[in-house]
Amino acid sequence: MMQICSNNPKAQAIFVHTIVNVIFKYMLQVKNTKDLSNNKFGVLGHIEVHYGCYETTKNGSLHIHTLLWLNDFPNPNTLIQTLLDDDIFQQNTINYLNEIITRKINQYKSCPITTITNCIDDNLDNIHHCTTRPLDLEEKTFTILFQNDIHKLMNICNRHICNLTC
Amino acid sequence: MINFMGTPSLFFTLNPTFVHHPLLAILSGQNINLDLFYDKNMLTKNE
Repeated sequence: MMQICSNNPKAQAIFVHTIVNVIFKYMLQVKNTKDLSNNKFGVLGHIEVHYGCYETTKNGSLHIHTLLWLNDFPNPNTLIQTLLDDDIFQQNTINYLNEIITRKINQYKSCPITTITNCIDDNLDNIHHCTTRPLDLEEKTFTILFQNDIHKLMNICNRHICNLTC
Repeated sequence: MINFMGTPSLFFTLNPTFVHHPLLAILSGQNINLDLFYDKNMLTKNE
């Protein structure tokens, strides 16, 4: 597959452009210059300006580095001052960080296959997680499948594997 | 831009995985049956 990709720079460019466009348009809800009436919230809130440029890695894959300016985001000095002065804000920030940062993956236990009849992923452990189709939101067992998904993804992407240089 | 807008709020890098993605397999001319694309069992066979 790596070989196929490096022989098709155009296919790769189209692919990366599609994915990046989808993320910006639907996940971050970046405003289109032609249609400023879009007032939807993205996952990060309202985005005022964004700027990014494409780069290639050594193996030829494309990636994009992006800077974002959010609406109503406090100035760094104000932020530090508020953190020092406002006790409630301080506590909220700590709670938020505790919520999003974890070093355990045990809380997302892999689901037993028997409970989910259509959980085909478990039978195909040798296939990389990224090749599977995204989960169906209308599935009744979505929550369990989603937890299972996170568990697998964390095991693949976030688990440290020691090599010679460690 | 920083002169006009001030410090950026976020800096992030998007790096879509391409080695495992079915979409790229189709774009690069792999023989994949698109009728089966929405089938749950459809996975890329090019590993």
